[in-house]
Amino acid sequence: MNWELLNPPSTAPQLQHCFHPDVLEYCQSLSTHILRDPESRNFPDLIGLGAWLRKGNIEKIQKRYSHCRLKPLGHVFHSAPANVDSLFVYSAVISLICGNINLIRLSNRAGGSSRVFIKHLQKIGKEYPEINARFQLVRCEHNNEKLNEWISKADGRVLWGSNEGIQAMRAKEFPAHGREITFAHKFSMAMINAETLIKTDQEEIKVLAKNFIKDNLSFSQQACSSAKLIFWIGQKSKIAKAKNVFWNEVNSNLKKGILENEEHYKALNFSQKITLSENEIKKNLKLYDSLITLDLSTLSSKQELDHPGCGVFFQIDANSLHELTFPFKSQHQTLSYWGFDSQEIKDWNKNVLQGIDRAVEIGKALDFTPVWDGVDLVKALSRELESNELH
Amino acid sequence: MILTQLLQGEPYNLQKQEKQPILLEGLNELNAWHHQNCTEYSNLLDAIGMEPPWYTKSVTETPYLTVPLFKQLELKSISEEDVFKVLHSSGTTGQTPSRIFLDRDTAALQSKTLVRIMQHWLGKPRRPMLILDHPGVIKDRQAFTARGAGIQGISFMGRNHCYALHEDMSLNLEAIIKFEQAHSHEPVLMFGFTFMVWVYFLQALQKEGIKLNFPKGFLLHSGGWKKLQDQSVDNSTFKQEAQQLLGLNAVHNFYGMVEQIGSIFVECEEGHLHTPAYADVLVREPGSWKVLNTGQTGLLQLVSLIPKSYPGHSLLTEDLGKILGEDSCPCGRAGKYFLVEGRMKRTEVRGCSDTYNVPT
Repeated sequence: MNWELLNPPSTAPQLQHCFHPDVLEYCQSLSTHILRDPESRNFPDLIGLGAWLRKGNIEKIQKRYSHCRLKPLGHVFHSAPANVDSLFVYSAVISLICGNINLIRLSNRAGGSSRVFIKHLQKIGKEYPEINARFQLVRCEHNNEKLNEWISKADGRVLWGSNEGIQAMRAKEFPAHGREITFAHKFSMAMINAETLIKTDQEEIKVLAKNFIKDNLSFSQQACSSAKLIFWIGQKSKIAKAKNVFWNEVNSNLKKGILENEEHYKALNFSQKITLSENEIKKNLKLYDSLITLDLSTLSSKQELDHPGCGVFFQIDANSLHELTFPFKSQHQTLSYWGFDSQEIKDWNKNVLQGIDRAVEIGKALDFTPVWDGVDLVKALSRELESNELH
Repeated sequence: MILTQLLQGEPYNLQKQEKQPILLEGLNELNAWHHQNCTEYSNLLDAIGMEPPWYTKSVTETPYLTVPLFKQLELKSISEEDVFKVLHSSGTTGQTPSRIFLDRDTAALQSKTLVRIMQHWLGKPRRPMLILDHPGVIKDRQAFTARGAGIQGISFMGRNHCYALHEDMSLNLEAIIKFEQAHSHEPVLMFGFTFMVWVYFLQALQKEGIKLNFPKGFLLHSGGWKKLQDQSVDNSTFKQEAQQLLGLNAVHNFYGMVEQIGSIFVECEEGHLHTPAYADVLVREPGSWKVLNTGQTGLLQLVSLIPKSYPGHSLLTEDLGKILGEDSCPCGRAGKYFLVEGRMKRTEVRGCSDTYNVPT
């Protein structure tokens, strides 16, 4: 595959000020195009992206940094995995907002929502030639010479993908001063208060179920912030009751076809594989209409890495939040919770010294924020002037 | 016990009322046997809450394993010393093949079922056999795949074996003509894998403008239709071409997989695949895994009473299909009859990880 620029520049790219009004307008225009396109309706990730790109939302982000004096970082390379649903557009757009000149390498396997996104990018590129020039999407082999050359002179690179994929990209020559941000393998979890759940009325549980489905099944559980493991907190008997109520509600709210046949099969095969191997752990395997739950007492790193998404939920029980002894690691990104006071979660998370970069209520797991994976993307993709210079 | 009786009878004589209780009893015994002898299998039955004596009330409740497990794990219900033969699936390149462990008894049962089923179609006397492949496929013990094993298995039914292809998959015309001259008017058996038969035998004969004449011939073929579907070749096209080019009438496909010995489903004159007395088929809806009714398409679950040395008596396959009826096929054979409609569609990769091919 040759070097194929998808929205070729009509002018030479130049750096711009952070939060330049033109960029805000560009984002708004992109948002309008995406949201007005009937094709977008097939891709929930595009709808989310369209909403996020609204001028009002970008201004909100701008406000958070109004006290900072920021300069662009320079040339930034982005390696995108297969789909727009994977959030790479967000970090790329933030880099654009920061005034950088960006090159984004799309995956050869980029799917349907990428196609729609590119279509709109091409459309508005003519109206915004300067911005289009510093937001370049490319398709090429990963060892393409032009690509290597570009990266070897870049000031920053943002790498999304699997651990192996990132290591392969890392092997490329990159300047000593270059800043690198990686979004590697992530594993997210949810936490439900069983004691609260069994006291909650049906209507509210239904809302919870719908939010849970949105978070975890919009992308067949494969978004990095979608939960694959659920912590159930409460007394044993109450947990058993709560699980029953919860999963039945989730199941009755699931739309048919949310997972494809092969995904169902993959889920069944994976949960059987785990159940059959490693006999020292007592497990409980339950098949629901479209989902599978597997109770574990502990999670091995192999189980974590092999989890295919597709509607398999590991479950671990604990008597109370403080009795939950789980070895959280840096790859454990989002904890989406329900039935807890946010302060309670904050206090608990304070003592989780590694992992859990985000704790959000169930229903908000997929919401993108400029602080992602413990990285303030605006600051990471710009250079901040010393504050004493302000005086 | 049940099996010995079954194997004495005809493979397609058992009506539903008779077959289902026998099948259930046999499967229940196998559940318990594998629970006691295969740790991995016992883990599963324990995890889904089954309790001693691990019996179910109906065949539909028999737990089932997904087929890729035999690629992912080494599953057997016999000790290492008792392993007599290991069968391998062909599998896609780069994938670990399935490993199916047989002891002497199970291997003997497998041969016996194969013979019983095939004798029904071919008659007792061994037939002169034209193998629609090249001889290297069974010579190379190292690469002894499902293809080789299949050919060797079916070769039992034949005599005066003759390979129709050269090592480079070109027609061995000399051998074919010689075989035709010697056996043209005898009941001969031809066997090969569907795709190979089409591409390297039938298409090649046509290209050469050669028509053979085997009025009493029986062409048996097996293997997936996927590659042929890509070339828009369906079963009836295949059959017509074969009948024309080989001058025969009997063309029969069969469906089965190395992971479940004893499950050999031969296509009858009506184009339907038939379950023998020792095996059965169910159709399940992906996701809910509920058993579907006759006529509804879903994933095929195969059950067989033969797998004793490994827990393969109830398998959920990746193949879609539907049951057409039971005991009511116009061909007169008893048992369920069904169609295979091909593999599940592959899904697009979603999400943000593992979407990158590491350069090699």
